[in-house]
Amino acid sequence: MKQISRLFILASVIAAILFSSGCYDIRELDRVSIVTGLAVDKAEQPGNIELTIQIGKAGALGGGENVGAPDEKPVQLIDAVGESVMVALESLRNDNSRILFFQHNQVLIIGEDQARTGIIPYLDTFMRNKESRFEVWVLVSEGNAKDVLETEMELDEVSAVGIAKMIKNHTETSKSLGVRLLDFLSKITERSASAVAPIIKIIKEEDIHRLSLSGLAVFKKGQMTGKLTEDQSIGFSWVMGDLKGGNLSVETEKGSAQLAVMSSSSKLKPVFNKDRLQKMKADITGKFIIAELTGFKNMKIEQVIDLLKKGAADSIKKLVMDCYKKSQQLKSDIYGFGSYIYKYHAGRWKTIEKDWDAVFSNLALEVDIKVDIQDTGKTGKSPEMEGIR
Amino acid sequence: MFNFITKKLKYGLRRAQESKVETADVKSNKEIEELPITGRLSADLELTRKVMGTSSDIKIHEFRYGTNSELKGALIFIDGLVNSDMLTQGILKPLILGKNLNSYQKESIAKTLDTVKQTILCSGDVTEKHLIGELVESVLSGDTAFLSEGFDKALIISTKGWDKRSISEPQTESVVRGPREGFTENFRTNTALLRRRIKSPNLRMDHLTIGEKTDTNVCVAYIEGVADPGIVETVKARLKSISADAILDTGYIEQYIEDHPFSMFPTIGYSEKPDVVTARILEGRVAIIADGSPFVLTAPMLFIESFQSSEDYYIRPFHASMIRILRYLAFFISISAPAIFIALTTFHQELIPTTLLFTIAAAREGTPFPTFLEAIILVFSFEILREAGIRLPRPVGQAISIVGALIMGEAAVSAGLVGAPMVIVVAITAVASFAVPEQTDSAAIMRIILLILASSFGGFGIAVGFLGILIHLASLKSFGIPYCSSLTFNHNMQDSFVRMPLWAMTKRPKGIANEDIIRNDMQIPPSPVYQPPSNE
Repeated sequence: MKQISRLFILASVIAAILFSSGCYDIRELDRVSIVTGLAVDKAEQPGNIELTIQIGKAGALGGGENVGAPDEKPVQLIDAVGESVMVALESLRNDNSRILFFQHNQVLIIGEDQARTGIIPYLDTFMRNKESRFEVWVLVSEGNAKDVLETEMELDEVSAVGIAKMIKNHTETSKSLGVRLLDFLSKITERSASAVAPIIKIIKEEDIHRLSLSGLAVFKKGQMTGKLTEDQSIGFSWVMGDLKGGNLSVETEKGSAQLAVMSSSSKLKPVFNKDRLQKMKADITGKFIIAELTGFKNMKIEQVIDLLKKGAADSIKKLVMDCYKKSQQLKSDIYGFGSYIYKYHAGRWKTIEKDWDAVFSNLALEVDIKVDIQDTGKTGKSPEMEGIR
Repeated sequence: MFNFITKKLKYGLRRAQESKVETADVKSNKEIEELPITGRLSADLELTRKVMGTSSDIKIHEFRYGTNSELKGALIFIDGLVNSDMLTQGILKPLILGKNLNSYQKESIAKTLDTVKQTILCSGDVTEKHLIGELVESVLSGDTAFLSEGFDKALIISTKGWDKRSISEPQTESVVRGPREGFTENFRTNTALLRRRIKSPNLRMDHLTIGEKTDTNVCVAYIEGVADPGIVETVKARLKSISADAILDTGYIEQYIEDHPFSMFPTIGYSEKPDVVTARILEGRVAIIADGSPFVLTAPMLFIESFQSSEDYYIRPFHASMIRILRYLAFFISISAPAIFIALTTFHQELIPTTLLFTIAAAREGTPFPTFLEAIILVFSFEILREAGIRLPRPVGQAISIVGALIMGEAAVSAGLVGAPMVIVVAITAVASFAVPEQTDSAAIMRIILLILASSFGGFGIAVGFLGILIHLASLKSFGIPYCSSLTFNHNMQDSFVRMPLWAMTKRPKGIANEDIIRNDMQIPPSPVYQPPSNE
């Protein structure tokens, strides 16, 4: 009898747990709209933003027999205006029959106008809300961000997914730099208070619109202050040491070459004279293989490599300094020098914290570049070099 | 609620008492069985008839024998259970035509009986019985009883010979490489199959009879000096404590003697193949053979045994180890795949890659039921299909599988009733569940428990479910041996996750065999010996 009552109590407890607390956060897939992209634009009403979300239509996107009508648009764009992201989201939620599901959001595109006005107040939602992921790519669009999401891509039906792939691809070739929301936010909230984000623009060729990534937008204290060109952004990557691929073109008096970047690393160090910050020092190492050679008539490969090493160091230095000067012009410490000094030399940071902008814009950068050419490719010769004829 | 249950229980108790009263009426029969054989043939036969009733298959054959046919005798046997050739050639013919009785007939009765036993009956197994009850018992198990006027005992001549299934390849536990013999329903064949494999005098086959009505022959087989005497004694004591009226299969015994009757995990192993049982006996386990069952129980059983196939030891260790790891994976899939799918698609969609999510979501579009219901429908349909496939005659079974495959798999998806990914998941689960046949039953239950947990709590539910299962598994014991013992690192793991080479498995599993633990004494690895070719 005792055992029966114990079993009964156990069973009722389990049933109570299952039925009263279970399923509270269940989300059936046919009740959610999978948001793939977010765009923030400046609204016509002052102080307001226009929030656009791109929703992937599962019925049109899924493989197999369930694919909908072939001419059905695979994505849906809805937008709302509000004084904050949350307000705009609320009205989007009200207008949508399904729960908005942000976990698969790929990109956050900020329109240039809004970026120049300032984005700090609008970023808070993305930091705070548990639905939004920190892996989202942050981009700045030349022109309206909404138009970017609207642009159709040839191969990727959902343009946001395509943009995400594009960023990954561009990071490989170093032409642009992928910036995730987490990096962006942490850089902007750090001591240096500056961050970069890739710029995406729509290229209109006759009736075809396509997207292209070019250069970086520089943010300072949540406000876009300027742009870096593609070459400048490569220079930026050299200093940060996260160049993963791409080519470096080297010009020497004997000929020119394309060197493929294998790996790069960089070490940043402030140099102090007594307690005064004298300069920043960057030790950059680059490992290359030769991808293309033209010229170098009647030279031996050893000589060519020596020449190329020198030439490569020069061109890297040029890229780096070019970018550095631009950032000094913009008074944006995108390298995070300030944060570095704060982290490792906190006492000295206090003395320069107040006029860091002025200090940074006059700060010298010493670049020490080590170049290593590891491989000559499939051949050690070239049609024009010695030994062929 | 409780009042209702108490009432029911009281009613049951009363019923039990009433049935006890009923058995008291039949006491007279019991009393007869206790009576000795008197030596007056007609009286003895009368008593026997009274006990055995008037069944048509019970034959009492009265005849006269001796040189001048002056002795009265009777044979009692059951038609169909005895070998009739043996009966006529080995018993009746020598008795009726035999001349040997001539010189002894006037001497003492005991001597005549000895003569009959020693010089006339052509049988290898003749015993004497003194009680009516003993006589009846022997006759019922297929022997022939010989009664004669003036003898106060019966000669029981072994004439067992009924139609039986021959040794064939078992339907379960098929192997590609390895012995193909299987146990049969015949008790002696089964013991012989074991005896033929272990030619050691230490192989013990201790005999018991269980079942008040069926009097089933049960045999406990083990190797003395290898098996733990404690375990042997435990098995015997538990077998003796069974007081049931019938043992129809070893499955009955399993349920009467298992350690954890309320657990979904089996704690007693079984096999239909003599080589498997032999291997387990050699590891120090105890086998239980019962008449009428081609399945032999082995105890104690470890959880890991479910993942060991006999073929693992017949093929070389590399592939065997790979297959074994696959079996663990299959077991994991078979219990958790639907649960994980549900947790991912209804709670943790962020864990699914975006492209895959769109594919799954596309399949979800327009399906009417919640994912959980979809899964339950498919899981249960599969169980129904499986059950129907087993029970139905083979030609019809095929029709069932076609209907199942076409209608459930194809039509249900294209009609939009269930999503295709769910069908795939359940199909994978179904296939995987057959990779570990000994745990198929427990897996089916665990699958549904995990399914319910996953659909109410998502991944958290699965974690809790697995934790519960793990705690439960760790608490199980089989005849004193922890169920998971070979999964822990303090036991020899040569035969758990991977199967080490045979020469490396030098010791019997720790814990099961505690004496004579050295299995082989090979050099590691065995180095081949070359005999130089002679030049002659």
